[in-house]
Amino acid sequence: MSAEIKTVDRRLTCDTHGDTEAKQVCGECGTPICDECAKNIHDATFTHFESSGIRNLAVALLLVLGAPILFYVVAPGLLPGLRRQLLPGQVIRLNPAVTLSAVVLGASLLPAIWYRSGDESLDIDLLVRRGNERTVCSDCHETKRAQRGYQYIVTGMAALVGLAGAYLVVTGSYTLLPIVALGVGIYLASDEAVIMLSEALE
Amino acid sequence: MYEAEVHDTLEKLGVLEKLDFDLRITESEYRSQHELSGEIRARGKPTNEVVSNRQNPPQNLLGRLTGGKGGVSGTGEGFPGTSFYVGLNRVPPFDQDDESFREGFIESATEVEGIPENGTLEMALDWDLSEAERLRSEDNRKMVSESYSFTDFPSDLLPVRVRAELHPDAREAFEQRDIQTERGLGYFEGKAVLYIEIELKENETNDPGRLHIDTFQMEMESTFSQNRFDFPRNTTYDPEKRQLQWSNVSVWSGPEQAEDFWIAAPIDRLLSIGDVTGDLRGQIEDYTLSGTEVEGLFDQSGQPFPDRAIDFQDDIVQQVNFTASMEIDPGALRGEAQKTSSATISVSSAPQYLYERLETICDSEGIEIRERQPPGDPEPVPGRERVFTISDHPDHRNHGELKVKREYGNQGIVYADMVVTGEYTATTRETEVSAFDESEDRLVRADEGALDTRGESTVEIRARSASSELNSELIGAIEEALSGGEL
Repeated sequence: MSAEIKTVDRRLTCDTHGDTEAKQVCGECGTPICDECAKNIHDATFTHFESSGIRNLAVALLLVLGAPILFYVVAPGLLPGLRRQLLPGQVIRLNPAVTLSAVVLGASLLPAIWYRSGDESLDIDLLVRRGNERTVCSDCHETKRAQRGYQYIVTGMAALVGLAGAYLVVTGSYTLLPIVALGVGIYLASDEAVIMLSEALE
Repeated sequence: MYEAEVHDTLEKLGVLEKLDFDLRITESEYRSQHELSGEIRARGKPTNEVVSNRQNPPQNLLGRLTGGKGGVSGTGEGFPGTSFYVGLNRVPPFDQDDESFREGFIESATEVEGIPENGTLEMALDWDLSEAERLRSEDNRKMVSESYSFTDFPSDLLPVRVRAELHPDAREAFEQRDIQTERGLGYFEGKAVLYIEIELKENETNDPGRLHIDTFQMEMESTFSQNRFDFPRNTTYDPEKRQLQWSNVSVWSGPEQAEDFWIAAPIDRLLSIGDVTGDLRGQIEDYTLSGTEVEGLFDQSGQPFPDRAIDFQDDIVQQVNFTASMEIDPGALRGEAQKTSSATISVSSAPQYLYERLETICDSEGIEIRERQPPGDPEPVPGRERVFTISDHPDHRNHGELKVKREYGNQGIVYADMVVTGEYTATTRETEVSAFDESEDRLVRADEGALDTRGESTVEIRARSASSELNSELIGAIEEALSGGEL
C-alpha cells in the first residue's frame, strides 16, 4: 500500500492562489492575498496623524506671510534686480506674481494641518493628517472606484493647471506664475480635496 | 509610513485552548470524556498617546479658524488603527502512520468553528477615554478575545492519555515500568500499587513536546496511616485532608516518558481507601489541539507589523491549558481482587412502590444512594389488556435503578446496583369489571393479566466489595427490610 505523505504547509496562503504565500492581507476586508492579487492604492480617506505639523505650519506661514513682507517691505528691489540680470530689456512685474504664488502654495498646506490641545493652555501639538498607501484585494479595489475617481480628478486637475501655467510662463507670460503654484497647491492638498469630495458626494 | 495605534498598544497575542478531561472508573461505569474550547486572545496596554488622543481629539486648524465653514471638518478621529488582522493557519494534528489520516478521516473529523483554516480574524483593541485612563492609572491591560469551538475532536487525537491501573504486584509493576524507588524493589514485595499514568503522545508532525503539570492532587475517601502506604518521593501528603499532591512535574512526549503517580500498599488496604478523586492542572506550551498557529499580524494597511511593541517570537503564544478530574474506585480496577454477589428478590407490589420502598430502606439503613433513576413511564404489555410493564429490556428500557454504597467501618465498602422491574395491573376494580364481563375474549385477557392486585416486582441486587461477607450483609439487610415492611 502506498502511503501518501502529507507535508505541513505552515504559512498563510493566498485566498485565490491557494499554494502561493500571502505576504499581505487586504487592508479593507482582511483576505490573505499574494503579490499577484495585491492592488496597492493611495487611500486618501485612510489617514493617520503625524507630528510634523509645526514644520508644515512654519512653511505655510513663511510662504503666506513671509513672501509679502520680504518682497514688499524688506527687499522690494530683490526680484526686479534679479529680473534685470536674467531678463534684460523686459518689463515684468515679478513681485506680485511670486508673492501670490507663495501665498497659494502656503495656503495649500493649511487644510492638512491639525492641532491637539494638551492639559496646559499652551500645550499644543501640531499634526499633519495624511492619507496612506494601502494594499487591497480585487473586490475591495472595485468598491473604491469612486474614491479613485476623485483622486484621478484632483490629480488630473493639478496636472492640467500646473502644466498649463508652466506653458504660459515658458511662453513669456511670467505674471501667470501663480497658475503653476495653484497646480502644485492642488496636488499638495489632494488628500484633503479627495476627503472633502468623498464626504460631499457619498 | 502608516502609523496605527495598535502598533504601540498590542503587547501579547495568544492562541489559548482548553482541554478538560474527565475520567471516571467505578464499578458502575467507565467514563472517559473530554471537552475542548479555544480563543484567540489579545492583550493591550493604553499608552499616554491613547489617553491624550481621546481626551483631546485633533482639531482641524483651518476648520477651527473658519468655524467649520467651507466643508473643512472641525474634529478628527485622533485614534485610527485600533483594528488589526490575525493571520491564522490551521493544520489538524495527525500521525503520518495513521491509516485513517490517509483516508482523509482526521481532517474531516476535527471540526473547529469560529476561526478560519487559512485566513484572518479581525480584532480591535479599542477603548473609551475613561477605560483608557483607568487602565493607565492602574498600569493594567485590556483583554479582547474571539472564541472558537470544537464541534468534534476524536479522543484518539488527544495529546494526553490518562490511565489508571491497580497492579497486585508492586514489585513486578515497578520492574515493568522501570520505576525507580529509593527503598529498592524488594521492599515492595507482597504489596500492590495503584498508579495513574499521564502520557503525552508523540506525533511526528505536531509534537506537543512537554506537558507541564502545575499541580496534581489526589484525595482518598478513607483515612489511613501513612506508614502503611508508600508513594513517590516528590509527593506531599496531608493526612488530615487525606490528600496527596505533586507539583511542577514535566511530562515529555513519548510512551517511555510517561509519568506515574502511585500509591503502594497491601491490596486489601488499597481496596479500602474508597474512591480516589484527582484534580490535575497543567499546560502544553507551543501547541494547539486544533493545529492553529498565528502566521502574521497585519494592520489595516494590509501590511504585517511584527516588530513594534510586540515581539513575534516571545509575545505570540500558542498553549493548551489542560485540566483533568478523576474519580477512581480502586476496586473497579481489578476484578479478581473483588467479590461480586447477586440476589433477586421478588415482591407482590407495583415496581414504583418497590422502588420507593428501597429508597426508604437505604435512608434508614445508612446506605448512601449515589445515583437514582425512578421507573419510567410504564408500557402496556402486548396482548394483555390493562397490564403494564417496567422492564430493563434493551428495546424498552424503563426500569428503576439505584446505585448505592455502604461503608462498614474498617471492614470495607460495598457498592451495589439495584435494578427494579416488574408488571402490574391498572387497578383492582377494573380487573374485576373485566372478569365479570360477558365477553369471552375479555375474560381470557383478564385471566392472562391476572397478577396480584398490585403487581409483581423484582429487584436485582449486584453487590461488590473486597469481601463476599460484606456483600451478603448488605443484601441481607435489604432482604430483611423488604420482608418486614408493608408494601
